[in-house]
Amino acid sequence: MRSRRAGKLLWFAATVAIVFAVGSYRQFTQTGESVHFALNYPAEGQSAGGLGARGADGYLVVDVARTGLIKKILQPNVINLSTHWLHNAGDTPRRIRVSAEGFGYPIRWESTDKTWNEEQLEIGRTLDPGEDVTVDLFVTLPRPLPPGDVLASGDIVVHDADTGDRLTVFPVRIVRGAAAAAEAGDCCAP
Amino acid sequence: MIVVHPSDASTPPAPRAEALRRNRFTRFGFFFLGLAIFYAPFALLGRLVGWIFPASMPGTWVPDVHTNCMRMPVGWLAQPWMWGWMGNNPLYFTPIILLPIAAVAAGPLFCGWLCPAGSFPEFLGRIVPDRFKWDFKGMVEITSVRYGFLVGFLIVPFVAASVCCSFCNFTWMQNTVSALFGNVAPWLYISTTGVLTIVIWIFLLGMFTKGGRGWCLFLCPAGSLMSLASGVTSRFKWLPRVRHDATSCASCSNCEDVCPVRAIDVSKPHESPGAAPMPQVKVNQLLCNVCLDCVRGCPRGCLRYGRAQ
Repeated sequence: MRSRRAGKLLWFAATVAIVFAVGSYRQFTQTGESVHFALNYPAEGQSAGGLGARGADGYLVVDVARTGLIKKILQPNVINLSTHWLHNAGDTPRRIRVSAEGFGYPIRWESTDKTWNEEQLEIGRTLDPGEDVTVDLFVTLPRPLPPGDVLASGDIVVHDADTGDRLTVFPVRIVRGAAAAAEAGDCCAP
Repeated sequence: MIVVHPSDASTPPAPRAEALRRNRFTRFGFFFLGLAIFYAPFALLGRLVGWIFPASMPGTWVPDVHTNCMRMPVGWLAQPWMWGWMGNNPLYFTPIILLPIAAVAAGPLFCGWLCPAGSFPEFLGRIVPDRFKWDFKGMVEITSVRYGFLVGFLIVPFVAASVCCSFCNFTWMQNTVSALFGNVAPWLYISTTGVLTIVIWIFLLGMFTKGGRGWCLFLCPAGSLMSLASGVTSRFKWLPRVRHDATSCASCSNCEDVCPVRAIDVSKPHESPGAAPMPQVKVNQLLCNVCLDCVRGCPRGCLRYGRAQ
C-alpha cells in the first residue's frame, strides 16, 4: 500500500516536472517563433511597446536561433509576430492603419477584428481610448535563411487612417544568435 | 471511488453492441452540437452572450472557440491579478464556475458529450484497430498524471512560460473547422508547439491510445477541474453519477473495455495474492466523463447513471 502511494506521488511529481520542462522550452522559443508583443499608439520611445503583454522596450528583437526544433526543420523562414495588444494609449478615439517598412520581404497581415480591411491594412471602425485589437504579421524570409547576423530589419508603423499621421514607429530586428540579439537591442533602444 | 462487490454469475453474456453503438452515434450527434455552440463560423454561445452583454463583448469580435476559452481562465485561477480581467467576458467563467458546478450536479457531461476537441480523436480512433493502440491503464497512474498536469499548468507561469495557449487543442480543433469552411490560413504557419499539439492530441494520445481520450485525461486542465469537482462530490449518494449495481454482474470486463477514459477497474476474485475474495468493479469518478458507453454496453445492465441506491 505504501509503495503504491509512493508510486502515485512519483508519477505526480514527474508530471509536474515535465510541465516545467516544457514551460522552460517554450520560454526559450518565445523570442524565436510566434513572438507576442505589445504595441501602443500614439507612442514613442519605450512606451511604444515590446515583448510580451506589457513589453516596454520600445523595440522588438526576434532571434531565429531560438526557433524550436520542429519549426527549424519544417518552416524556419516564416516568422509570426503577434500582438493581442495593439492598444489605443491616447485619449482620442481613432481609426488606424498599419504598415511594415524596410523589411524587404513579403509580409502577410491578419486581424480577428470583423472590420479588418486586408487590402488597406485598416481597422474599419473607430477604436476607443484603452481599446485593444489583435493583429498578426507573418514575415516570409528566403529559404535557406540569409547569411549574417541580422536577417531582416524594419519598422511596424501605426497610422491614423483618417489623417495619415504616423502615430507609432516600432523597430523590429530579426537576428541570429544571442550576441546579435543583444547588439540589436542596443541599436534599437530609443 | 465507488467499490462494489458483485455476486457470482454465469458465463459472461455478449455486450449490448446495438445499445453501445446507438450511444456512440448519439454522442457523435452531440459532437456537431458542440461545434455549433462553441466553434466558428457558428459559435452560437459567443454570439448569444455578445448579444446579451454587448458592452463586454463588442459585436466587432468574430466569435470563435477562443471567445469561450477553456484553458486561460483555469490558469488565471492561480493569478489573482487576472481575476478582474475575467469580468471582461462572462464566458471566462464557464470552465471555472459554470461547468464545475454542472459537474457537481450531474458529472462532467460536457467532457463526455459536448466537447468536440475531446471526442474528435476518440471518434477518429475508431478506424484504428485496437492492436495498434496503447493502453495507459496499468502502465501509468492515470489519476496522478492527470492532476499533476493540472498543478503544473497552474504554477508553471511563475517559473517559466505558460503552456496554456501554445499547447491548445481547442485552437487546432477550431483551425480544422475553419479549414473545412475555407479558411486554411492557420494551417500555413508551422510552429513547434502547434505540431507537437496536433501529433500528441490527434495521434499519440488520440487515435493510437485505447479509448482515444489521452489528451482529455492527461493534458486538459478544464476537464481535470470538472472531474475533480465531480469526483470529490461523488461520495454524496444523491448526486447522479455512473454507479454499479452488483446484483447480476458477471465481471465480464466489457465496461472496462469500452470506457474511453479508462476509468473502470474490474478485478477478478483472487486475481492476485491478497486480492479480495469477490470480484470488484470500481468506477474512478476522478476520471469518468459520463459518456455512458459502459452503461449502454453492459450486457446485464449492472451500470447505470443516477443516484446511489
